[in-house]
Parts: sequence; C-alpha cells; structure tokens
Amino acid sequence: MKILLIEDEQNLADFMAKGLLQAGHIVEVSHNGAKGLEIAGSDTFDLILLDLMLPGTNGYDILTNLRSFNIFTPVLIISALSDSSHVVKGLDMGAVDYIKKPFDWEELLARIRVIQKKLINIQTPKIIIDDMTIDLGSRKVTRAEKEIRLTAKEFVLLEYLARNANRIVSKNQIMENVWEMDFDPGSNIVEVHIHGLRKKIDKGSDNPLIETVLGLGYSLKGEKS
Amino acid sequence: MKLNWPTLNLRKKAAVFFATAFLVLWSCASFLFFQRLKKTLYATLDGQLKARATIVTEKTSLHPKIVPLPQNNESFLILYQHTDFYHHTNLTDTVFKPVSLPFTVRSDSAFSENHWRVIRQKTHLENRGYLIVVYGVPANAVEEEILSLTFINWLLLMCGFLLSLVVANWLTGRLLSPLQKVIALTQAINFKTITLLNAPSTKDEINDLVVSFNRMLVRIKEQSDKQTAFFASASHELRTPLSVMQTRLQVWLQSEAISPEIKSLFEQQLTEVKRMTKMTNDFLLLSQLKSGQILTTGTVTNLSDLVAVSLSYFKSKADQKNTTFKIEYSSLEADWDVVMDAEKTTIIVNNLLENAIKYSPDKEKITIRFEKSETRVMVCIENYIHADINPVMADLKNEFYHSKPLDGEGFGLGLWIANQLATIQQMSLELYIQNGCFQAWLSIPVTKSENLIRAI
Repeated sequence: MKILLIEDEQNLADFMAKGLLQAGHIVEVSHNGAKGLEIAGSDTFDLILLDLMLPGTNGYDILTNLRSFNIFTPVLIISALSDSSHVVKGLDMGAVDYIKKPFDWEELLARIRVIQKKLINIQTPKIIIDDMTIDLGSRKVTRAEKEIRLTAKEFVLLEYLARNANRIVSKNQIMENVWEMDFDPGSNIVEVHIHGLRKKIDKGSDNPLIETVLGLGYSLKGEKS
Repeated sequence: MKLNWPTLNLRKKAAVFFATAFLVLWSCASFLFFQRLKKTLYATLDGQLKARATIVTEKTSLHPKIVPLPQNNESFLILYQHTDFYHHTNLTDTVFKPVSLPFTVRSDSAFSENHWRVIRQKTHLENRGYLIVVYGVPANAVEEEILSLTFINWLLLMCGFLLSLVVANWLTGRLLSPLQKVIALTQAINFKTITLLNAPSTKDEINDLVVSFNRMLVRIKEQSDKQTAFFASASHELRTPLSVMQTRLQVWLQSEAISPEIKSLFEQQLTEVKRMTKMTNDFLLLSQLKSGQILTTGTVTNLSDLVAVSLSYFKSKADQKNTTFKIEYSSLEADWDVVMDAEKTTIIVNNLLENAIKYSPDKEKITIRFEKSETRVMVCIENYIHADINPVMADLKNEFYHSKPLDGEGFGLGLWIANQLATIQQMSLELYIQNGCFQAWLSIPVTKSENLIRAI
C-alpha cells in the first residue's frame, strides 16, 4: 500500500515509516499539515495516516479540505486525543478508523490490513451449510435468506463449529479454540453460548443444525458446500 | 474529674454554661432574698412579742403582787431586781406552764431557742428596781413558714435552672441556626461541585464566616482546576513521547537483525513503557473524572463478550501465575445484552480482573459469575487473596489507596477509577471480603429502549 503519513512528531514519524516499510508498504512522510494536504493533492495514496494535533492546520481541517477537494483516500486517524467525542467527530468527518496514542504497533498493522482488504475488495470466504451462510469477511450469518444477528463470541463459535461441520467437537476443544483459554471444568460458558446460538440459528427451523452428542460434545450437522 | 467537652456540641455547651451562670446568680439572689424575708418574719413576730411583753409588764404589780395570766401558748418569766442588793422573785406563770425560759438573759434583743421565740424587756421602777419580763411564744408557725419558703425557694431554683437550660438551648439553637446552615452547605460541597454559599443578609459574624468560606472555596476551586488541568495536560503531553518509545521498540522488535539479548532488553523496556502508558491513561481519566468532563455513550453490548475480551487481554499474565478461570452463568436462557458504555465498562472489568490476578496466590482459581434479575445484570469476580494482604474495605475505593504489601505497583487509582466510571453509568461496584475470599460485584441496570445503537 502507498501510505501518506502526516505526523508532526519527527521521531515517531520516522519510526512509523521504518516499521511500515518493514511491513511492505510504501511511505511518504509529512511533518506539517499544509504540506501534507499538498502532497495528498498532488499524488495518489491508498491510505492516509493522520495526526490530529498538527501545527498550523489541524487534522480535522485537513480531513475537511481533502473531502472538499474530492480526495476520497481512506484516512486513519492516529491521535493522543482519546475522548469519545474526538473519535466520534473524526469518524463522522469521514475517517475510516481511529487509533489512540500510544498504540500497539501490531494493532496498527492489523487495522491497515483491514482497510487494505476493503480497498482491493477481496472476496471473503463463505461457509455454507444447508441453508445457512456464514460470511467470514463481513461477519454476517444468514439462514433461509434471513439475517441472524450474533454476538462476537457466538460468531466465532459458529465459525469453529462450521469449520468442523459433521464432526464432534468437545467442550475443551471449543474453549481452547474459541476462547483460547483453559477454563475450569466447572465452567458452563460453552453450554450458555451453545444455548444462545441454538436459539438464534435453529429456532423455528425444521432442520436443527446444532446437535448435542451426550458425553462427547457438540456437532454442526448439515451438507457443507 | 475532667469534663469531656468534645462530646458536647457548641449549642449544648452554651446551654449548660448559661444555665449554670443563671443557677449561681439566682442562688445568690434567692439566698439574700430569703435571708431578708426570714428577718422580716422574725421582726414582725418580735414586734408582737414586744407589745405583749409591755402589756405583761403593765399588768404586773409588786404591791400587791399581781401577775397576769398567760394567754394562748405564751409563756413568760418575770424577774424583779433591786439596785441595793440582788435578788430575784419568780413571779412567773411556770406553775401553770412549766417552760424553762432562760432567766439569765442579759440582752433585750429577741432570739430563738428550742422552737420558742423569746424577748426580754427590762423596765425601771420608781423604787430604783427593775422588772424584767422574759416573754416567749412557740416559734413553730414561723419556723414552718420559713421551712416552707425554703422548700419553695429550692423548687423554684431547680425549675429555674431547668427552664434556663431549655431556654438557653433553644436560644443558642436559634442563634446558631445560620451557622448550621453554613455547615450543611459546606458539607455538600465536593471537588466536582464547588458552589459558593449564600451570605446571610445580617452583617454579623456568620456573614463574615460565609464570606471567608467563599473566599477559601474560590481558592480551592482554582487550585483544583489547576491540578486537574495539570494532570490532563501532563498526561496528554506524555502520550506522544510514549508513542514514540513504544513504536520505536515495537518496530525494532519486528526487525530480525537484533540479537536475543537486545531483544530481551527491548521487550523489558516495552513492558515498562506499557506500564507508564497505563499510568498516564489513569491520570488522564482521573483528571477527566474530577473535572466532570467524561462523557458516556450507551450502546447495547454483550457483557459476556466484553468480559471474554478482557480475559484474553490478561491471558498471558494469568498464565504466568498458573491462574485458571471458572465461568459460571446463573442461567442458560438469560440474555447478557446490556446498554452501557463499552469502553468505560471495559476499563472497569480490566481493573477488576487485573487486581484479581495480581492479588491472588499462584495456581489459584478466579471465578467469574454472571447473574441476572429483572432490573439488573451482575458480574462477580471472585478470588482468594494472599494471606498477608489485609485491605481496609472502607478505603478500597478511595484514590491513591494501596493494599499492603504490594504497594508500589501503580498509584492505587484502579478501583477508584472503576467505581467512578461505574457511578457515572448508574452502575454499582460493591466489594466484599470474607475468609480471604475477595468479591467484586459490578451491577448494571437493564435499560429498555428501542432507540439504541448496537455495538459491533
């Protein structure tokens, strides 16, 4: 990705540029808001990493000017301003994401990857079992063409069951793969989430997909395509 | 015996003081009045005695010897003295009333003896002799009158004391009521709401006190604002250098060119930078909470998922201590979606989980319990704590409180911040300890609204 980094803190900008280069991106750095706006207008970028508190022109002004000049390059705001009001304002003004300083480097790279995926419109994989479709990219689940709203953990659990469709997965396997933790055996976290998932997926259906195998675990039954 | 003054408030002290002063003054006054009254009563009686003694003297004759008969309860002794030689002739009625009147009385003044009031009257006779009449009547009536007056006087004194105590108490209460209003208003003032007091219209000491208080409050508010601004500014300014340090270390750690020793050093430095980042965030939160500038945005969030994310965040710390987690849901059916500010609630849960891991012994189990009632959803984090930790429960939610002996880690802000963030979201955070088992209950009200944003 070709990234424009607008950051007035020279040390931070230099190391961010170095890290982004290591991660395989092309980076151009501007330490000044006005200069950054000029660069953004004169060249084409895939992403702009924008600091808010800049000398002269602040980040919000740059964002407004970019949009008024019909430059719709995705903008990821990186700022020390951590209030919800700033985050909301930045996103409302058209930024695609907001990351607070000090940030975790891996988190920044992961967020850039998400934007990259959206940019190149990668066809995200889907898992289809009978009449249920799990879109792993948009994290949407439909059954009989009806969208089902799941919580984050319910989605991960369904994805795990779907990847192991028609196989029995034990409670321990679920805990290790979905929660990535070894919970005490007395925990009923799996039962609760399976119950919730079953209520959303199988309720009102003649063909229940989630099956409890007594003493062994759970299985998602169905024709996988 | 030393009186324990601090147990009495100013009103009671003033009441006791005024009542005691009244008692002393009235005691003196009533004593003088009583003495005067007693004297007057005896003077009246003595006048009657004198008149009767005169009549007895007039009716007494030596040649022939005539002595008047005593009337009622009176008793008298008549002595005759001659200037040439001393002899006395008993011409008394003692035959009829054998009362032992002192015949050796030398003074003409009246006196009391054995419940009798006695007076001596000496009359010069023409033959150069003297006729002395010692006249007495029972003094019972007067003595009874005096006793009765004494009793009434004491009774009045006691009643007066009690009445003065009540009146003084009421009066001081009235006088101190503006001061009590000032105290009540002052107690309601906290750092979040420093409001000036209304000065009373009267130009007295209370007015001066209120004006002084207001001046002091203005100074406190200025200092508080400056302190909050300093925290916010310092925390904010620290974020950029911390970002630089963190990014620099993380980018270096990504590089394959560094040796394992340098990598280990960088990792340690990164841990310290992250610790400093947490403290900076805590200070920023502290300043925002103190200045009341923190805003909450309620969205429908799954509490169970929120706790799961926090758990994954602390997984490595828990693994280092071989800590295991037990998750208990009170019901399979319950819906754990609640309206809350997910970011702020995550800070609360993170603080509770971090404390649970930090203060529990190695290889211990931390139980996380989810419960639901009609109006509230609750999550309880329960863990056993080190035997040498004995936290003062009442102080746990105070800022800058440390549970010994693990002080030195952080600034003791975690639970204070958690409690403040819970309060501004109408949640409640309750902490309990029993037999070394520590419980933190976060209770979240269930809000029913159709116009809510769902957190993704």
